[in-house]
Amino acid sequence: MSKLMKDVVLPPKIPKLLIEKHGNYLASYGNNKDDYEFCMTEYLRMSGMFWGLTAMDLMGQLDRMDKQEVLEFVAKCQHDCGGISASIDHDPHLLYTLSAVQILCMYDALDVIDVEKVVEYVQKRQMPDGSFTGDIWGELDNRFSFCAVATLSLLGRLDAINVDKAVEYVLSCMNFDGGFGSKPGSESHAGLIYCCVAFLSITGHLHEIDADQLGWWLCERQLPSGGLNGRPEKLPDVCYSWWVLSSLTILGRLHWIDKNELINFVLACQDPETGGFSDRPGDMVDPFHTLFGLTAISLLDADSSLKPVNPTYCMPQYVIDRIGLKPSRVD
Amino acid sequence: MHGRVKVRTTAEQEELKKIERAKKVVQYRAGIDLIFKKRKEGIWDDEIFLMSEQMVLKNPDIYTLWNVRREAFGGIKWSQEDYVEQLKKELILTEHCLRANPKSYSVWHQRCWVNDHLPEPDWATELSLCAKCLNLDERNFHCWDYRQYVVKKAGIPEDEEFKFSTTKIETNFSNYSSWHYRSLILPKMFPDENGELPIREDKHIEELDLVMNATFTDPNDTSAWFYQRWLLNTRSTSNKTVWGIRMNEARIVIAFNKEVSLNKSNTQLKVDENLIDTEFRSCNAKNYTSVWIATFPENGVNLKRNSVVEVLHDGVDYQLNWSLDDQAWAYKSELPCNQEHNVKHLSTQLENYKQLAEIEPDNKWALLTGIILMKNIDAVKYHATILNDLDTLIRIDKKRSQYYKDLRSKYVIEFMIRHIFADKGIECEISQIVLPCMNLTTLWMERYMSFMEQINLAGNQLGDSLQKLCALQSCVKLSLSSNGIKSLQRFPTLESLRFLSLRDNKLSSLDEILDLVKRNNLTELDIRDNPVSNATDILTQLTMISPELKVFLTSQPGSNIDSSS
Repeated sequence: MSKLMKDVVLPPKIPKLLIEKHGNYLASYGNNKDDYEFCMTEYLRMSGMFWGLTAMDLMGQLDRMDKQEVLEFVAKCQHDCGGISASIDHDPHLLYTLSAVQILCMYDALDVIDVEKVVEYVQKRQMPDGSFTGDIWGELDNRFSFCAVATLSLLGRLDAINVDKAVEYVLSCMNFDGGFGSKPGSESHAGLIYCCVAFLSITGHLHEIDADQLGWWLCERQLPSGGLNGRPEKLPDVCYSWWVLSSLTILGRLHWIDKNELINFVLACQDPETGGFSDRPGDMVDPFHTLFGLTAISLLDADSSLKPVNPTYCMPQYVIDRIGLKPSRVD
Repeated sequence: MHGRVKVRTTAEQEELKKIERAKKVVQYRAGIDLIFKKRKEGIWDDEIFLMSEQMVLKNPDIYTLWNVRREAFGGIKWSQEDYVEQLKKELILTEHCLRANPKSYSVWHQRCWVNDHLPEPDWATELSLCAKCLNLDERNFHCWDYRQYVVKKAGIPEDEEFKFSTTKIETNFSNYSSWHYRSLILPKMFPDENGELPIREDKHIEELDLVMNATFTDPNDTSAWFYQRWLLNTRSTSNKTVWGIRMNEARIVIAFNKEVSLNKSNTQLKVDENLIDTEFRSCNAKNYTSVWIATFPENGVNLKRNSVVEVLHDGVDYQLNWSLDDQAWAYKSELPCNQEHNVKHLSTQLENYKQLAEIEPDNKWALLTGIILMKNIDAVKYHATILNDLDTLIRIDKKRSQYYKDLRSKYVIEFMIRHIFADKGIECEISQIVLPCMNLTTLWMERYMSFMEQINLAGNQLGDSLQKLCALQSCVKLSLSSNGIKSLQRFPTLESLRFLSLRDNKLSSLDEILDLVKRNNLTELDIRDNPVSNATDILTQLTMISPELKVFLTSQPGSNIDSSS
């Protein structure tokens, strides 16, 4: 009956952190606007830009990116309703509204959009039960609750929504294992756990979590390869190095995993030819996994050339300090 | 890009792929431009449906295209019949999309939207779609979520879903999603009236057996072990929020059984029926915490030995009595404890898991379950065995050794605290706790030390837990010698603290020592055997801040904080 454990085997040779290659990969990503990959991901462009820019900032290479082009693009994506879309002509959504606000905070350039209208847009997404819809079409998800409070707190306007109700809704999604899923009754998943833990960190309600129970579940995500999966009996993936690690950091239990083995796994997911990180060793790289590979290395304090990242906002710590935010953590 | 393997291709293949992709880019641009143009102009025709259909079949995550389709449903003047027909076609489209991409949020949402707009949705078909989809991938959480949506809409009774989860689990124990689903339904069907067990006691036994069967069938599959941990997670029964209160003319300290937020509307202090204006502050500057303090201005409270002192919190009245031992007004209550449940049954299970651990000595799950079982059966009787097994876990599951070390620390502290409180009874004043050289890596239950005056934590590894000391609001004498402490940045301000030993640590920052002395009103400080003890000028600088402070810098015979305790 016993099956083989779902995991991967790391290659014998693991490269060091290839900062220069990753910088080149991200700097040239999107240079060719007719590139197939680039074109097909237009529907998430704003988040894609956030991933790339954050990664570049953490590596100290933000000045390689065309700031003016970015700011103009973000401004063009704000709609009359205040919401911001993934790309021009696409529809506004909380996911991309947050990415846009994060980008502008990084560039200290919130003045290129109408901030008051963003606040209004986010405010309108809250339902009477405290939950948030992603846009006007009614999809509910804790990802959107996180997007809402992250956006508003970055704008200093958390007072615009009913925070107590929002907290109540997120807590109603807590599961038997101490984790969270996307809606009440949804299975726990490390990505959603990050959203909910970061949400509670922003709103100051982390005491509602059983940090020992959830921390245990999270540290059990580490597989023999050193990599982390997002749910029991699943394969490891670099992006969970972020979702799991940031949650453990906020919960004050980062030491419950084996840091060195995780660092090895993350470094093994670099592509030494093209630069960038993939989900698992030997797969295709992309900006999403590149950011989360780098943020993991930053949280693990494994390379002094990377800037520290804030585990709640997934943004460089210096930006969070500049705004004056102090999201809470468990002792 | 999840799970896409990088393949080596020849230059020729690469060229072909390039041409192919360039064609797709042109198609994408043409399609999306046309759709956006028609949308702007308000032209809702067959072409917009057809074009967006072709595009979402290729990439269902282009969320705006689904928005356009929903707008088109509203933009066209349909006969009722045509409208329903078109909605049904949309169901077919989403099904096609799900076949190619069963994890697309947009598609599942579109399917909900269609059902919400159909006059008579066919829930039976939807349910069988879920079953089919879960047969292909039993862990697809989108599908499980959709199933819950259908179950709710169709009003399917819980016992049917309970049967479904049982069938799923019996087909394959290694299905975390099914165990999760079960944990949702059971507490609704069979709630435990006392709220101590996750489910009713008789059902609890049945589930324990089911899960034992699963863990024995495949001991290396992790799913069932998590479900079991939930079943064994009994809750403590304290119904009182406040655990203890101490008050004198200068200040009041309240320790709670859980984290709370105090404000003037939920907490009031009364002396002889007079409301005392009190500003409570949390011990660690957090809004929610378990120890709260208020200091009174001089002559702020008029207290007599026979004064009636009471604290009102959340509608409960806590009466304080004058305690000769404490020389303070005090409210005391029992430590919250876990009630025993199904002990006989748990003991049988423990025997089985011991056997499993013998057969598979490297199976950490069997060991861990054994520990939790012992803790639930009789934590005192099994204390030594529990610690021994935790040491084994630290050895065999190296990745998580720090987790087990912290767990071990918690069990040790809980054992000691329960022991001294049980020993002395609640009427007695417990003024000290001695926990030296116990391999503690973290503090635990520190709120129950908030009235203790002498606390000895020497010879542990508490360098990363200093912030938790904030609960020790009555502590006068504290030893943290030989704890591997590198930094005092997170050492709190403790109003009562006078004697502090930090001997034999790894402190190297003079600024941190100076800051510590500035923030705390110390009489004696022992910092011998630290790199910082050799810092030039250290004594002068400390004397400048606190002229009366007695500092132990170099080893010399005579009294010191550690040996005098």
